[in-house]
Amino acid sequence: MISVVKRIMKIIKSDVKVYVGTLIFILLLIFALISFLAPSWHKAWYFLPRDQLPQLSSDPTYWLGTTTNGRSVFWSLARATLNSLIIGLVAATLAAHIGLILGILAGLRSGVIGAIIMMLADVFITIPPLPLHVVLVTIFKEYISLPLLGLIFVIPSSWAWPARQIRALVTSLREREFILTSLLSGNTTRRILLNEIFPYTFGWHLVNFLNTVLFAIGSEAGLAILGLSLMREDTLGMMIYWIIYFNPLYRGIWWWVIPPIVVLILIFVSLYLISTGLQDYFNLRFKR
Amino acid sequence: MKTIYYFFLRIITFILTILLSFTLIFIILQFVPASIVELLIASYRSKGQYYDPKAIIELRERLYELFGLGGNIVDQYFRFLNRFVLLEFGSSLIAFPTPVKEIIALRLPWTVGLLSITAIISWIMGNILGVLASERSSAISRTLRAIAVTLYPIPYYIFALVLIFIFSYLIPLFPLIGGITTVSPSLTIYDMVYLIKSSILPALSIIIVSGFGWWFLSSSSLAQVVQNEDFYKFAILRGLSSNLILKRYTLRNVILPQITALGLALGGIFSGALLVEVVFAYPGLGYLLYRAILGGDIPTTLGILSLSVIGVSAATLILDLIYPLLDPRVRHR
Amino acid sequence: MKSHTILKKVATTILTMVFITTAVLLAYVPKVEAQLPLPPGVPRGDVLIMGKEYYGANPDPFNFNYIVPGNPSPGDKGYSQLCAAYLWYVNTTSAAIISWLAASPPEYSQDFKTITIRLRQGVYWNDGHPFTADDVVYTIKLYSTDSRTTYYTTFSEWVEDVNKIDNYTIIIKLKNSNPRFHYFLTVIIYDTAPILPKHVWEKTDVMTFKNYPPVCIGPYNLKAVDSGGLWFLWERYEAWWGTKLYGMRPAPKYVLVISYGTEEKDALAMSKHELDSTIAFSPENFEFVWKTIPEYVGVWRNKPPYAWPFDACVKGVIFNVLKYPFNLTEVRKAIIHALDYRILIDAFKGPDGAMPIPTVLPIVRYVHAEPRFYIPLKDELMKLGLDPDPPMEIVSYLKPLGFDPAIVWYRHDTQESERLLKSVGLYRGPDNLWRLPTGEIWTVELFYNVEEPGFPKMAAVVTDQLERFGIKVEPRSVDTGTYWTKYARGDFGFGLGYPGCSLLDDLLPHIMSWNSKYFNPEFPETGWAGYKFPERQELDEILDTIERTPPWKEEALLELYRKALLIWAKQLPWAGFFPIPFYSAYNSYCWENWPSYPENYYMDPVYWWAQMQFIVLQLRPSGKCPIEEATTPGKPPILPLEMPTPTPTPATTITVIVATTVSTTVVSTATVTQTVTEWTTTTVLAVVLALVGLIIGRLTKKGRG
Repeated sequence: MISVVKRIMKIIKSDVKVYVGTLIFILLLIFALISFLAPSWHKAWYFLPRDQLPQLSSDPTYWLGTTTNGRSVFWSLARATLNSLIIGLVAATLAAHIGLILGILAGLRSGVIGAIIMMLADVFITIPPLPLHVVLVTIFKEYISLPLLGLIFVIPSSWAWPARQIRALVTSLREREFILTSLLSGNTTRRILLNEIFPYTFGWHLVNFLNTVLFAIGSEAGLAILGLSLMREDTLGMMIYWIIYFNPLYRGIWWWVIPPIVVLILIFVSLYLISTGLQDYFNLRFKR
Repeated sequence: MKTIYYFFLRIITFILTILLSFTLIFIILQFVPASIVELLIASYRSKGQYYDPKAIIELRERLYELFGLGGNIVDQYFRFLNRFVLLEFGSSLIAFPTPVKEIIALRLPWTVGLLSITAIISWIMGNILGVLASERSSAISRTLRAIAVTLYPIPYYIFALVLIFIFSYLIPLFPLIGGITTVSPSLTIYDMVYLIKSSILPALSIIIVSGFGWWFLSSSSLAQVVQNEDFYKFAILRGLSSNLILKRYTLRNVILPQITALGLALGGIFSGALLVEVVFAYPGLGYLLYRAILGGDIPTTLGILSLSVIGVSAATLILDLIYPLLDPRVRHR
Repeated sequence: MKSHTILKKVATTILTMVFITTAVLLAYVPKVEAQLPLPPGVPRGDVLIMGKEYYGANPDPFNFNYIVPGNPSPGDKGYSQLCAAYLWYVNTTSAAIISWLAASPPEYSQDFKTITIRLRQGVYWNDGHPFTADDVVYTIKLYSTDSRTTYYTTFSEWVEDVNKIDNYTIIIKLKNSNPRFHYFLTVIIYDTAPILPKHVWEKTDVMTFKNYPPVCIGPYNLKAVDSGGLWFLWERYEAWWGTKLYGMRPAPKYVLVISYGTEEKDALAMSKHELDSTIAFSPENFEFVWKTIPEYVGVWRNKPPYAWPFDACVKGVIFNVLKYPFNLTEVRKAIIHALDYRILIDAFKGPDGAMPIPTVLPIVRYVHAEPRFYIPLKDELMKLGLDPDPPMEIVSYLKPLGFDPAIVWYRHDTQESERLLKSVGLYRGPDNLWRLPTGEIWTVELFYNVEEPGFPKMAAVVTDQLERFGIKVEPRSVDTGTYWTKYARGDFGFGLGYPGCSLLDDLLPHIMSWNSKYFNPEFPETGWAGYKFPERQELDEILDTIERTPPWKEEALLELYRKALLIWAKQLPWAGFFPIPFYSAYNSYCWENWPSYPENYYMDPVYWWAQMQFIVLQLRPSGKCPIEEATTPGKPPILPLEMPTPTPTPATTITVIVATTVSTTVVSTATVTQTVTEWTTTTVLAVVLALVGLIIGRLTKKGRG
C-alpha cells in the first residue's frame, strides 16, 4: 500500500505539470468538500437579499455575493463543484473502464466476439451524442438522481471511441515480437494481459479517463442549459442555466457569472495538466 | 484479391452499421414520453379556442389516427425501414402534414454550409497553430496553449452571448440575426453580403472554440507525443533543420489521426449545432432536431438522425478506404 | 528554433490583420437598417418590428394552412394579426364584441337552433374577389364535413346545415340548441376558426395545400418569408377594403415579424431600437431593456409598475383529486395553508415594482371581472380562509389599480394545516417530517413543466415552503411534450399547472368541463370532473342550466356562475396563485400610441393575438426614425353596426355594447432624423486599436533577431 502511495508521489513530483495540476485539483476538491459545511438553508430561494456584491466577512456566505434568486454564490458554487465532480468521476470511471475492457476483449479475441463489439462501438460512434443525450434524459428524467445522471447519458456515447482506440492498440501490440516471445515461453493470456499489454494501455487509459471526466461535466452543462438537468440540485451546469435564465451577464452582476466559469476552467486546466504530464511520463518510461 | 475481399467486407459493415444504428435509434425513440397529440391539444386550449369537452375527446382520437400513431410497433418499424431506403420519412408531426424531407431540405444547406466550412477552417488553423505551438520552451507557445486551455472550458452559450454583446450591440458590426434576406426571388449581391455578414459571428465563435480550443489542444498534445519519440530526438541530433523536422516528422504523424477525427466531425455535421443556432438565430437542423425530439415527432427525429448516421458511416468508410494511401505503414499489411 | 519564429510571424500577421480590419469596419459602421432583413433602401421608420410568438425557428415557414392539425400557431408568422378573416373579435379590456367582417352580432332564434349572420357589405379579399356569404358557407361546410380539419369535431357536432339567403346573409341551422355557437367564430383569446376564401381553397386538397402566399383580407399582404423560419415580412396593401370603404389605414408600410433567437437577444435588439414589441420578457431581461431605454419602454402602463397582470391563465398548484391523499379536501387545504402567498408574490415582483395580483378564484381579476365575481363573493371567500390582514405593501399596490385590497389569498396558517392533516390521520414523525397513516414518510412529487415561464421559480419557492413545513418534496420537472402527455392522463399527484385559461365574463367555455357528464376516465387530467363530493349534483345542475342560458342574460348567468365558483372554492381542486405578470414590452422610439392604462387603454398589450390588428391600425410614427412610405394612421378601427331593416319573421335581436376604442389621430409632420451610432466613441476606439496594433508590431519586431 505504502509503496503504491510512494510511487504516486514520485510520479507527481517528477513533472512540474503534473505537480501543478494535482495541486489545483486538490484545492478544488477541498472547495467542493467545504460544501458539506453549508448551512441548512443554503438551497432556499429568496432567503438572502438579492444581487448583493461580494463582501469579506467571517461568514463565507457573502464572499462571492448573492444571486438574483437570493442564494449565496459561495455555497452554491461549492456544492455545484462537488456535484459536477461526482458526475464526472462516476461517468468517467464506468465509461472508461467499460471501454477499456471491451476494447481489450475485442483486441485479443478477434473472432466473432471482437466483431460484434466493434460493430456495437461503430453504431454508438455514429449516433450523434447531443441528440442521444436529449433523448435519454427525456426518457429517464423523472427517475434519475444525481450520480445516475452521469451513467445514463454519458456512458452510451463515451465508451465506444476508447474501446476502438484500445482495440487498435491491442491488435498492434499483439503483433509485436515481445508478445510472441511471451506466448512461446508459455505465458497464459491472462498473464500477457497483465504484464505486457496493460502497462501500455494504462497510460492511454488514464488520459482517456481524465478526458471523459471533462466530457461528462461538459455534457451535463450542455444539457442543463437546455433545462434538461436536475433542477433542484446544484451542478456547474445548473448554475449556468440559472445564469442564462436570470441574465446577470447583461445586468452587470459579474460575481455570479465569473466564479463558475473560473471553476470550470480550473477543473479543465488541472486535469489537462495532469493528463499531458502523465502522457510524457508514460512515454518516457517506456522508451527506456 | 485480398483487397477486393476487404473492400467488400467493409461495404457490408457499412450497411450493417447503418441498419443497426437506425434500429437502435428507433427503439430508443419509442420510449420518449412526449406525445405530439397532447402538445397540440394543450396549445389549442391554452390559446383559448373554445372546445367543448366532447369535441376534445373526439379530436384526440382523430389526431392519433391522422398522425399514424396507433398500431403495432413492428409494423411501424418495417414501414419506416422500407421508406428509409428511399430516404423517405413520411410526414413530420411538428409541422404536419409537411413531409420530413421538405423541412430538412429547407435547413440542410445552412447547416452543411456553415458547419463544413467552419470545420475545415478550424481544423487547418487549429492543427497548424497546434503543431507550431508544441515547442515547449518558447514563451509564445506556452502563452498560446495557456490561452487555449483557458478558453476551451468556457461554456459555449456564455461565450457566444459575450461575443454578441460586443460585436452586435456595443460595436454593431454584425446583425443580430443569421440567415439571408430572401426578399428577392434570386440571390443578389445585397443578399450575399448580408449572408456573409450574418454568418461571420457564428462562424467565428465556432472557429475559436473548436479550432483554437479542440483542434489546437489535440494537435499540440499529439505533437508533443511525437517529440518524445526516439526518431525525433535522433533527427534533432542529426542536425536536421527544424522546418524539415516539422514537415516530415511532426506534421505527418499528427495529421493522420487528425484526419480521422476530421472525417468523423464532417460526417457528424448533419445533426446540426443546436446552441449555435439558438443563440445566433441561425437556421439549421440542430434546433429542428431538438424540437422534434421534445415534441415526440419520431419521423423527423429519425430523418435527421439517419442523415447523421449515414454521414458518419460514410465518412469512416471513406477514411478506411483511403487510409492506406495516407499511411504507408498500413499499406504494407 | 525556427518553428518558434514561424509561429511569431503567423501570430503577428494575424493580429495586425485583425486590428486593421476592425479599425476599417469601425470607421464604416453600418446603419441600423442594413442589419435587418429588409428590402434594400427601406428606412427603419417604415417598418413596425414585431416580436415573433416563439423564439425558435418555425419548422415550416412556408405553410400558411392553419386549418389542419400540426400547425397550431398562426400568430407566430403574423397571419392572424395581419391577414386572416374573422367575423367577430372580443375587446378584452371591456369584454365587448367587435363586429368586424360580420356587420352585426349574431341573431339567434328563440330556441337557439338557428343563427343569422349578416356580413359587412363591400368587403373584398386582397386579390380583388368580393367577400360574400359564399365564402362563409363554404368554410363552415368544410369544417363540418371534412374530418381532417382541426375544427371538424366542433363544427360537425353542432352544425346541421348552412345556407346563404343572399350575398350577405347566412343562416346556420344547429343540431341542438346552443346560444354560444358564435364563440367558435369569435376571436376571444389569440384566434379562432378563420373564414377561407372559397375561390382559392375549393380547387385544392385541403390537407396538403400550403396557402403560400396567403390571400389576405387584413391590411397587409405577405411580402417575404425567411427560409430559416425566423422572420416574416408583411407589406401594406394600399387598396385594402378598410381604406377604400372606411378610411382606415395602418401607418407602418411594412411589418417585420421576427425573432432574434433567444430572449436575451430580443432584449438586446429592443435596446438597439431594432424591435418594437415583444410577447413577454422575463423580469430580468425587461430590467435590462428598461435601464437602457427608460424613456421609450412601456407594457401595460407607460410608467412603473409596467407589467400586464391579466395573462389569461392563472398559474398555481394543481392536485389530482382522484389520487390519495389529494382526494381529501383536508389535505388539499392543509397544503394551501402551508404556503405563504406573500413570499410567492415577492418572488415574482419585478424590478419595476410590479407585483402579481393574487387571484384566489380561477378567474383572472380583470377590471370587469372584479365587480362581477370577486366583490360579491368576498364574504364567502373570507370565510374559506383568506388572509384577513394582508401586508401594507400589497394593499397599497392593489388599491390604486382598482382592486379590492381585502381580497388576497389564503392565509399562511401552519397551525390550521397541522390540524387538518391530523384530522385525517397524518402525523409528524420524530424527525418532524409528516407521515401517512400507514407510517411511511409522506413524499410529494412536484410535477411541472420546466419550459413554462415562471414555473422553475414557482417550483423552487413552493418546494422550499412545503419542506419547511415538514413535507418531503421530490421535484419532477419535465419538458412541455412530456408534461401535457402525463397531465392529460392524470399521471401525477401534485404539481404546477393552469387548468383553463379564459377572459370572458361568460364563464361557460372555461368551466364547462367541470360537469361530470364530460368526465373522460381515460384522460382525466386533474380529475375534477369525476370527483365525488356532496354538492356534485348541484354543480352539475348549475352547469346544465348555464349551457341552456344565452350569454346575454347576464344577471341570471352571473348568479349561477357565482354559485358554481363558490362550490369550487369550497372543494379547492386546485389553487392558482396569480397570472404571471407579463412584460409584453413595446418600444416607442419609432412608433407611438401604444395602448396604455388607464389613459389610452383601447386594447390589451396582446401583440401575439389577432387583436393586435387594432393596435397596428392606430400606431403612428414618432418622427424619430427615418421615413419614406409610412403614413399617419387613418380613421380609428371602429366599424359601424349595420343592423338589418325589420324582417317579417320576429327575430330576437341582441343589443351588445360596441367596443369603444379610444384613439386619437394626430396629424404630425414626420421629421426625418438620421440615427447614427455614436461617432465619437467608434472613432476613438478605431484610433486606439490601430495604435495598439502598431505597438504590438513594434514590440515583436524588437524580439526578433
